[in-house]
Amino acid sequence: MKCPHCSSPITTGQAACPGCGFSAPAIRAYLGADWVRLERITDVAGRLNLRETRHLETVLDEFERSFPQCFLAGYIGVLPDTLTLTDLGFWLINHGAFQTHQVSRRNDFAIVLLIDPLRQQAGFTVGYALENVLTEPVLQAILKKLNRPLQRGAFGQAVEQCSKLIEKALRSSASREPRQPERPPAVVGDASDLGLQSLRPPTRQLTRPHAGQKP
Amino acid sequence: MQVRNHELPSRGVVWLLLTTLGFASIHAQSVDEELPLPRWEKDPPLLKSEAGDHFNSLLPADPLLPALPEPQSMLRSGPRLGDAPPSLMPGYGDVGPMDLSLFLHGSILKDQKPSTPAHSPTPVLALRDLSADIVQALLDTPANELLIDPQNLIPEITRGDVERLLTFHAGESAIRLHLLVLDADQKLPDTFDLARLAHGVLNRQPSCLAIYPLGEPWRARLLLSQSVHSATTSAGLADMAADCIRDAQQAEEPGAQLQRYAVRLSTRLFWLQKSMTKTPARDVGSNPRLLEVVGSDTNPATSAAAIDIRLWLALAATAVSLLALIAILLLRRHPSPRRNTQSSDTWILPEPEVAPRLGGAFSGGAGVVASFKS
Repeated sequence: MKCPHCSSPITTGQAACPGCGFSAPAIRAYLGADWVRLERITDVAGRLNLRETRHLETVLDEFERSFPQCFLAGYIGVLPDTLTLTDLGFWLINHGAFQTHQVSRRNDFAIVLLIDPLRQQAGFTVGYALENVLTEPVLQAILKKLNRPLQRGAFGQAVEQCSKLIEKALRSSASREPRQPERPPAVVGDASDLGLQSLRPPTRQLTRPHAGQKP
Repeated sequence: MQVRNHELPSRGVVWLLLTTLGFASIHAQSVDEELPLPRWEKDPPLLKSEAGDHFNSLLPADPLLPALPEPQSMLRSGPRLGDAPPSLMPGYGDVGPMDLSLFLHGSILKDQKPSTPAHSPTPVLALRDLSADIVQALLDTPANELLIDPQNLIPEITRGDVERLLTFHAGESAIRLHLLVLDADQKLPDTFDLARLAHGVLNRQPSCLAIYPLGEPWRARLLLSQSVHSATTSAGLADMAADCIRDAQQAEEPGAQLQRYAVRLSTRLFWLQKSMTKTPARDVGSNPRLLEVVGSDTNPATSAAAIDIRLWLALAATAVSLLALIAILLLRRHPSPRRNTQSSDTWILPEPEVAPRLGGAFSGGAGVVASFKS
């Protein structure tokens, strides 16, 4: 493994990079220790139009349906000189609450594609669970295939193509699980047993009684 | 006094008027008595012609139904056709009074061309050789006769037109044009020596001989002197022959076809002569012979077959293209079952236990960065 900041070799269990001292506390001191809420597509640079964004949402939905453990996120933005793409990727996976279909998805199955249009750089950061599947050579090969749309500035197309390529790479290590036949739930205690999540009470909670109403 | 003078003339006028009226009434009565009154004949004269004769111009010669005898009572009642004047106009004296063609527009009955029946090509096996006497007549044809028609197949007017054309052509062109006309089901015997035709006139100068079956221009044969034949390509000659046949087929009547063929051939021979670098020389010294123009498939049956094949091929190609387009559209609308299966399947990844690095709870920073600068 390599340090995300300086690419120095890192062994398992090391708390900080021996070359540059990069670590989670160090990046937290720079970007903050709080969790941040992130959409799956974060276009800070404004390079995607609404139609592309909606289409990518559909593409990412398909990806998550095929791989229920994983999710793919994209970040398009211009970074300061002191921050590398992998620095940000490291921090995003460790501090980002991605708006996936199921919030319960673990971030160690996350794949983040980062694009800096100004530097003209693109990079991947993956969670622990995918390190052995999406190895560096695999990710390098995917980035090489994304080179053409990235050079044209077609970032939406690059994200879509990235999704297909990663799917293909993941399938080589994943086991297919056939679709489960539909069956009614065994016990229905509340709406959550039907897959529905209540976000707020159905009626407004009154803080004080109305005039004329006896407490 | 003046009043009395005025009364006298008025009395005279009244007297004169009364006298005149009295004479006039007497004279009128005598004239009425002299005029003949119409006399009723008990048995009026019957029509001499039979019923339906006046409609013969509109009916076929042989009626499909036998004439029914009309009852005498029907003939004896009503106005008699024979009472009508025979003719109202001096020029139509021979036309019956009830001939309906008088009341119809002339172009419908008189100027209408008889519909020529579709001429089917004579089968090759039905062609017969010219008889010996006709062959002999061909050999004995005078050398200066450009239109060779020993059987007098061509109508007189058409013959005159074509002869004038050929004479004009002979006077203006270095390639003499001869036209040998056969009947539709005739052909020259295989043993016939064209070099002896019309006392060997074709050997004396650059010539073109068209052997034309009347009514079947697509079987026309074209023969050229060697010097003319070698002056251009075979494809060009074949095109010339096909062009003449096409032009002849624009007409329906055999005589008109022949005229068109002759005019077109004459024109193309002028073009051919103009395209030749030098005036065609006589073939007298160098084994004179006629060479036939071949290579053009002008048989209507085979041409029609070729057109049919091309049409079918085009239709098949269009149908295949349409089917392919429809299939593509359907596939795009309805993805294949395999694709559905793949998208509906879920893939489960192993969950390895990895020791954290660099203090990251979910990622140790594994990844790559690459530049996409062009």
